[in-house]
Amino acid sequence: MKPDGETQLRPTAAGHPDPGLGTSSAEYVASLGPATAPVSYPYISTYYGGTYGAYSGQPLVNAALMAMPPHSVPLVTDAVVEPIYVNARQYHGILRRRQSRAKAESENKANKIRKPYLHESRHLHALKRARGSGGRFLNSKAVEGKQDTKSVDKKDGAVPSEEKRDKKLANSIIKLENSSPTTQPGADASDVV
Amino acid sequence: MMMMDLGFLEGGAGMADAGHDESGSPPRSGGVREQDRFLPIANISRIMKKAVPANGKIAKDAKETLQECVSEFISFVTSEASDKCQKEKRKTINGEDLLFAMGTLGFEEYVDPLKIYLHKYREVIGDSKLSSKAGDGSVKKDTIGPHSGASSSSAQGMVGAYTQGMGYMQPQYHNGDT
Repeated sequence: MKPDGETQLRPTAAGHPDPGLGTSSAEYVASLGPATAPVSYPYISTYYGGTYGAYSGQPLVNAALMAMPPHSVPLVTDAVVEPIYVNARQYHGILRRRQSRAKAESENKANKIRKPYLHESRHLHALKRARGSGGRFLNSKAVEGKQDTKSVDKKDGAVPSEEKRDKKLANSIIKLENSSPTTQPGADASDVV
Repeated sequence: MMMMDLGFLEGGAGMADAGHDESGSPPRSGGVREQDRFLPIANISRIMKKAVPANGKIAKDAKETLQECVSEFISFVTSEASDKCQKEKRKTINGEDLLFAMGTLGFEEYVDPLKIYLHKYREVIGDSKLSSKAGDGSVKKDTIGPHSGASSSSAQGMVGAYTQGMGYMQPQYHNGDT
């Protein structure tokens, strides 16, 4: 007998979330009611199957994900008019987690906003990095080329205006040469979260 | 919001929904930081990419949504295991406690493969590295603020949960955390 362990979150009817402060139920501390909408099950099956196979080597039974649990109990929330049915075995865990999240939220409401970066110094470093066409960071060879240009500039302390113009032309040529290897895979700025 | 087919994700959806109700942006305060609430998003993106074709792309909000879901799942299972440990007057959550918690919450399908994984993991990792792992656990102490009474032991369980679920990602996790 295969145990039916998979769970199902199912609204009995289309709910209308009420963000206002309603009367709290005895089992509920803070209002965190969500609105529900259908989700693409095959994608979830694919994802969990992939993760599952990574460490077990056994294929996940996708049909089990959609099997109805034998027992489900209504989970009443303030914001949702209709109850949301969850796995009875997860009922108390969900309530406990809601209290924990409500407590964390009361302490730090500012953390709702995601920061674009964690460290200021790293952010500034990324801003200074040389970028090629398309906005991607240049690879190490291209960066070395730029450094050579800078060192050449440093050697000549005082440069007459005519030679400055020549150096500008040389720099532009070097930049054109550097931009050509951007077809190679380089560090992507979007990866720096 | 999306309707999840796993009960514990309902709470995660609620968290996302509550975010929309917030108006204005109050000044930042200390306490639980984002990097302590969530796993690093770069590692989650790498895992998601394995299930997507090579030329496919994943939107940023999709990554953030799954980041919240997996972090909530870890807290969900760890909270259940912590409850059992408190009842039994034990201070340290170990791998068996997490497996038992997953069984209690209706994830029996995962228990057998994870038992095999845990057994092989302990074969590979010696006792000396396990103690260093405990040291690493203390770094994540803030992640489990609600369990302040047993924060260090809960952190140990958190590390165990992460290692079991994504053992092959372990070195990259440190890279992301650097």
